[in-house]
Amino acid sequence: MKTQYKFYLVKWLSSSLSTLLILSVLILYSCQKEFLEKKPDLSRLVPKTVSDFQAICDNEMWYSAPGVQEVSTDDFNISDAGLFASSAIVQNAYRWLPNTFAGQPFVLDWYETHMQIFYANIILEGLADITDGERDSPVYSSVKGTAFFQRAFAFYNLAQVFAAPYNPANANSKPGIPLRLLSDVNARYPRGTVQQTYDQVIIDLRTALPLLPDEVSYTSRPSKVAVYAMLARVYLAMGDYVNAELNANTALTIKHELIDYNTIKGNASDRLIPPALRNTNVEVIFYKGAIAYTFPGASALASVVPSVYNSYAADDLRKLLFFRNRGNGIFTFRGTYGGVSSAGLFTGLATDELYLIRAECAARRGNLNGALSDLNTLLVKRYTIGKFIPVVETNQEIVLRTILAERRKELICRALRWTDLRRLNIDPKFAVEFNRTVAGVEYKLPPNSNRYTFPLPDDEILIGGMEQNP
Amino acid sequence: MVNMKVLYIIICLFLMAGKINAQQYLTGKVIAKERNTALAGVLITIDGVNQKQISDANGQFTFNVPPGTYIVDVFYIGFDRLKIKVVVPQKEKLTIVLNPFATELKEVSVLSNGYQRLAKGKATGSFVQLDSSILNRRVSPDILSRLADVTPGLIFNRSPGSGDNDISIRGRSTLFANDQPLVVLDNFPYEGDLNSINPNDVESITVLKDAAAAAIWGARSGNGVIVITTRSGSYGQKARVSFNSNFTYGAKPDLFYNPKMSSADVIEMEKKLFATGFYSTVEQSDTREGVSPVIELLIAARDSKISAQEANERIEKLKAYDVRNDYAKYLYQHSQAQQYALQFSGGTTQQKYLVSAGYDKGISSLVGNQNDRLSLRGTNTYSFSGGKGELSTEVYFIKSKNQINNTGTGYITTGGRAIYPYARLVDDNGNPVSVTHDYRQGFVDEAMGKGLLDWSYNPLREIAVADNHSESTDLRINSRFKYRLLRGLDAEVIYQYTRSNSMSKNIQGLESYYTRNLINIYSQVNASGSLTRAIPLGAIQDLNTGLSVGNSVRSQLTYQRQFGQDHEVNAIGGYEIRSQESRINSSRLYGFSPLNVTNTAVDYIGLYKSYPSINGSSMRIPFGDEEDQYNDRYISWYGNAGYTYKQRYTFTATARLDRSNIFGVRTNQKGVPLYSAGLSWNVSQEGFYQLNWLPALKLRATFGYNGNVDRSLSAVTTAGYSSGAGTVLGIPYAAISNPPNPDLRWERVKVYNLGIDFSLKGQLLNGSLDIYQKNGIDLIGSTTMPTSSGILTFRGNTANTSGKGMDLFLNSTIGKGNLKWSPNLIVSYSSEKVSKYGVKALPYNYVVAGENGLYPYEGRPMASLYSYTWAGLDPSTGEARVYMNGLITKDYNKVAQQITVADLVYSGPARPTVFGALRNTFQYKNFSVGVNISYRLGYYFRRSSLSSFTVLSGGVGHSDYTNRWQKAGDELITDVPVLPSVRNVNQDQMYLYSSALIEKGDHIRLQDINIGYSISKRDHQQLPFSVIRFYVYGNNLGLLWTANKRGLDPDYPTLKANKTISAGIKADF
Repeated sequence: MKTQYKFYLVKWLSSSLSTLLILSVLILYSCQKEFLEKKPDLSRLVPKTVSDFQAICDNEMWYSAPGVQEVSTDDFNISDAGLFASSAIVQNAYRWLPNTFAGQPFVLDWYETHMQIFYANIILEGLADITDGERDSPVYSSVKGTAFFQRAFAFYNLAQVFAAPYNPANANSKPGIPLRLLSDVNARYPRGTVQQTYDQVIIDLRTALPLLPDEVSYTSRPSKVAVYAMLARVYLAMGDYVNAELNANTALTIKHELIDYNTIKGNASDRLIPPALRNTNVEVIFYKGAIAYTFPGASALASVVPSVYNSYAADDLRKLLFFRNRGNGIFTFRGTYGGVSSAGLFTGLATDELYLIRAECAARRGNLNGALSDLNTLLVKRYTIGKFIPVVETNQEIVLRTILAERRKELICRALRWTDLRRLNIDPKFAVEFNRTVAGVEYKLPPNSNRYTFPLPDDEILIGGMEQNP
Repeated sequence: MVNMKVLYIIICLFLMAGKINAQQYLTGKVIAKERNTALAGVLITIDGVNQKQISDANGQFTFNVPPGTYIVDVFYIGFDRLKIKVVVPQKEKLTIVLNPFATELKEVSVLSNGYQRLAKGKATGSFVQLDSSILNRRVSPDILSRLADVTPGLIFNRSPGSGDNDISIRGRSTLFANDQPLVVLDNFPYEGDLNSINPNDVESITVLKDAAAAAIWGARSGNGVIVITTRSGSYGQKARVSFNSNFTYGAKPDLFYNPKMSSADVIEMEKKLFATGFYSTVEQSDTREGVSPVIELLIAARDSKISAQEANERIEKLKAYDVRNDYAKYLYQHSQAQQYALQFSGGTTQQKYLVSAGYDKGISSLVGNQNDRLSLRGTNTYSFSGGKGELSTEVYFIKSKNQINNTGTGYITTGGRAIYPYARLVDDNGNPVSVTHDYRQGFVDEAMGKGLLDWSYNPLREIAVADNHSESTDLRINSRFKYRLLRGLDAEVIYQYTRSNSMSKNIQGLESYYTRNLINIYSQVNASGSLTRAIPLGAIQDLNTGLSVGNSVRSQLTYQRQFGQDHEVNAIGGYEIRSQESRINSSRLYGFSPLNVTNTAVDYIGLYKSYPSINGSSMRIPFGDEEDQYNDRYISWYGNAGYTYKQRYTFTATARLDRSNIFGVRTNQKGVPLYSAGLSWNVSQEGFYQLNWLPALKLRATFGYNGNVDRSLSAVTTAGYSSGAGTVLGIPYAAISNPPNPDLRWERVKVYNLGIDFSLKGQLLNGSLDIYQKNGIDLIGSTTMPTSSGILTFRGNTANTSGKGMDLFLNSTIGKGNLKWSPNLIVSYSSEKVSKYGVKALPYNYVVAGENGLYPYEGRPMASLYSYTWAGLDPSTGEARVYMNGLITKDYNKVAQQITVADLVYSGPARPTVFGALRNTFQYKNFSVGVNISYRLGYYFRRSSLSSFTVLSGGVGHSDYTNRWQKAGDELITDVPVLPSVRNVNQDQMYLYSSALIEKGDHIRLQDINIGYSISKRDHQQLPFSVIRFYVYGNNLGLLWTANKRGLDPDYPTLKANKTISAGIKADF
């Protein structure tokens, strides 16, 4: 009995031992290299393929655009209580105080936009390493075009807030935006000039143009028409009305749909602009959303300036769709063109803006018929059916002023007003000065004031050693 | 066929071995008295024959001698020398019990580093050995906390930013990589939940502190190593049963520990703020966020819904309530814990076994929360071929359950902010009532009128209807095969398989607020006024499951032999391969019915209008299905050799090469070689040694490198994929995780250690002193980047640290006979500084987060306390003032923007630099009392005070509110600034981070008292057990002294350490 017991035991031992030994020998000599090549986290990867870079292009971080300048425009007011309940940045920007960011680190308007530049450079460098057949695929070129387009958009957006307004007279001397064209985070770039910034924006856009497709599945991805639309916006900001009109025209040749606001149905509160990102807003060409501050969207106390509200005619559907009556004569903004307020105020590209650019440029060169035709094409879609009376006018300045007034009304809360104020101030005829009173103290923003250029965030000056704006 | 042959040979060998065994061998085993643990490395000499041997890891030895009578000389350092007469052939295996010099010396003489068992006398490194008597002083469900205040050089960090069980061994030698010691459980790193190890299964713990001790663990040894050895049976031991059980009762948390403004003060402030229009924003918010009852009353009075007088009367009534009383009464209770452990062990000459079972149950101090744990363990070792071969298997199974139905007070909020302090959880009759939560009462009532679900929030009912629990099972199987190939040369293969399953299930029924709220938010009101529910009625079930499987194989050769009288070699070399794979799945079911286990499909793509949002923002139904997979893989080669000359000089060397898949997703093939060397000199063994008063003296010196890894970094650009389920488009996207860093390397820690072990005559005093220097090299440093780079911080091998310190351990036993007093003192000194750090952060960063070690500064400790230099309050306005450029200023914005580091006050380290404990044990006959007094010295902390921003936001501020400056002259008696007219974050920061709030952290604490009474069979022959022990244990007994004048406990700033008292019985049969 005992021997038998031992026999089974030894049998068991030897079998388990040999299994153990074989297992360890197997693991020992099974290719070590392969063993260590397993990814530590399966969802983490080294972006190498075109689809990896496409996935990076579909990140929501690209939606972001500066929004602080919207606080400083003349479109909205806020009560003292509302202002003091807001963040320090809002309090400072609203009063045009020089130290807007008050030592606060990580100013999103600056940081998130630069992150887009960093991402764009990572993509461009990663794509350059692709050597196989993928290089010839249409996705490869559209991803590459996207990176150039997004980088241009980011440079342009930063220039509207942190660099002086484009003025041919001093564009070669005013500091611009550091032009980071490589992903190396340790490299330091000087600010260069305003001229260099705008040159780079145009170079990047022109590089993107042949690479991008005609059609895209989502408005968060740029297409050729987005490049033309962007070029129109950039040239307009530069006061280059010839090129602005040219590009607006090309863009409108490709895409010219307008929403008839009469087709937006529902109760007062849910008559909403159709969402942009899901391509249901036919006017939207390319999507961006501004970083949210207390207003104009988020506070019940940030109300549209009464004169602006009253400038919309009674039959103008925008008066209903864009604003919400809070009682006591207070109207707040609700009609973001992105349709989804949670994603931030829409600051992307749309056909309505293009009609207005083309109209303005045409008016400026004296083509009043062309200008009014564009204006009327747009406005008829904004009024209750049958109530719109087309604008007829022969005085160039009146036509121009009408278009500019309509531009302000149509493009309210798209972070365009600030750029327009900066541009228009250069011409004394259109320069405006405005002021506001907070807690009994009056604040003024004279035309061409240094306050039209925001200071760089304080951490950038302290760590990056960059030149501060005056 | 081949198999059969092999089998036959093995059987023959086996039987032969059995035959020879009984006749010509002198075999035995050496154990240490009282602990019954085997002693390895004991020198056994047979007088006259001149045969010598060293006992093996199990304390065993076997001589081959002709029959006769012999004198066996047994010698082991630290123990009484023994000579025994033995007759060969033996009737039974010899068991030699050695008496330690000092019976209270808490150092077991066999150390384990997880790879080998080392004789303490021949170790060069810095080890701390904690045996079961030390580990069992404390009563706790977990093992790790038992290391606190009994281990020289080891501290549990309690500074801000450190989590539970945050341990530092000899300070910190990394900045941002993992800073926790490696925990090794029986040979292999333990990757599971440390709380699941049953302390009753633990035999001893060895803490490896310096390079010579820890370098065998290579790239993971930089923070020190904690080696846990579990119990096992012994050869030749009679069957033994032991039982341990205890019950612990904990105090209710003191909710008034954190000084807060009174309800009356908050209400007065709400009235003032209301008058300024502060609440108009909230009142008109799109999200209808809830406001406190006082504000509702004030609104009602303003809108003439009620009279001002009625409002006032009702408000006055509210001033009397304090929600903390209700919390204490209904949300909290006394915690309870029960522990039961049962163990059988024993062995024959060829086999030893141990089977144990443990059950722990804990009832949390939060009503509705509890946990339990069942642990089963069996280990069996079979010795064959006359002790040449050994095969052991171990199975360890742990099942834990945790119920979390009470999420604590953190979720009881109003409008997303802390709840109003005068809230009541029950009405006058004691019935649970609703409080204002996310939405205003009017909105809730109106919604219910439209057919939406009850939108009220009743905190006590939430606990009653919750069903949130988690379960985990851990299975660990170890097999070890060892065979003696040649004399002194053993080969072994160890294989470990671990499998952990975890599951957490949270069923939030239709009664729960979470589910009602979500269904309501997604309710769509149609034009006709009818309702469509995008989220179906029914429970919402969230299920998370995790599976983690580990496979480890180690092949090792051990060589241990003595040559002649003078030379002794002890070496190991091996190869190890490990893989740990884990998978985590999350899923969510809507419209779930726990009864029928059915659920309903929902539309995850469509956009739905949010019901409470006036502007009708659209959103998707929250999607909760996800899977993640992780793999850790390691391949290591290691070797450790020791050579001892004349029992006096020992030289040791360790080398290890680690490679892993850790650095990014592209294989880093380079690996990191790490090594150490050590020397020890047993001075008292020298012929010239004459110091009679100091009979034992040993000197040690070691040098070497330990390593550390940061899993999160990669040398190449990496990106992480996300499903995009939470995004507007709902398409997959990727985010860049880190920028490329081609120069990335493993971190190294260079350690020098000098040690001395000594023992005074008559055991009056013994102990050890170690001094060390620890330099971190190529540490991963975080560089604050200019945000124009597109990233906030960059991490690379940019930093060095240097640390030095000392661990002193003194032990004594005074008194003879019935009364004994054994004091035991631990003094650890640890000072560290960042010696190289290229980048300077903003002054703001140092001030706000310097104490968390997030912003190292060259020349200062990693965790340092910085402040604005306080200049007192402005005598005329009561505003806070600080110094900037040597001038007094109250321009807060300017200070925030322009202050330099030179203007800041550096107070000192935020972590203790001197710490330890004094433990006194008194023994009178069978009665013992142990008192442990711990202390922490040489550091600073920042006390909390009044944030005017919180007060002016209608929140509940610090009770310093009553001490605030209110009139001229107050500045002489207070530092609390005046309440400003408008909220200003910078002004708050200026005061809250000023030097006025810095306090010394030094304190002495009565940590615990253990009282025990033992009855043993020796004294009472009629008893059925060999020894039974009754014990009472009190923990966290309170502060004895604190340097700050306010009596604040620097280690527990927000929640007091909970006093507990335990009583238990331990019996051995």
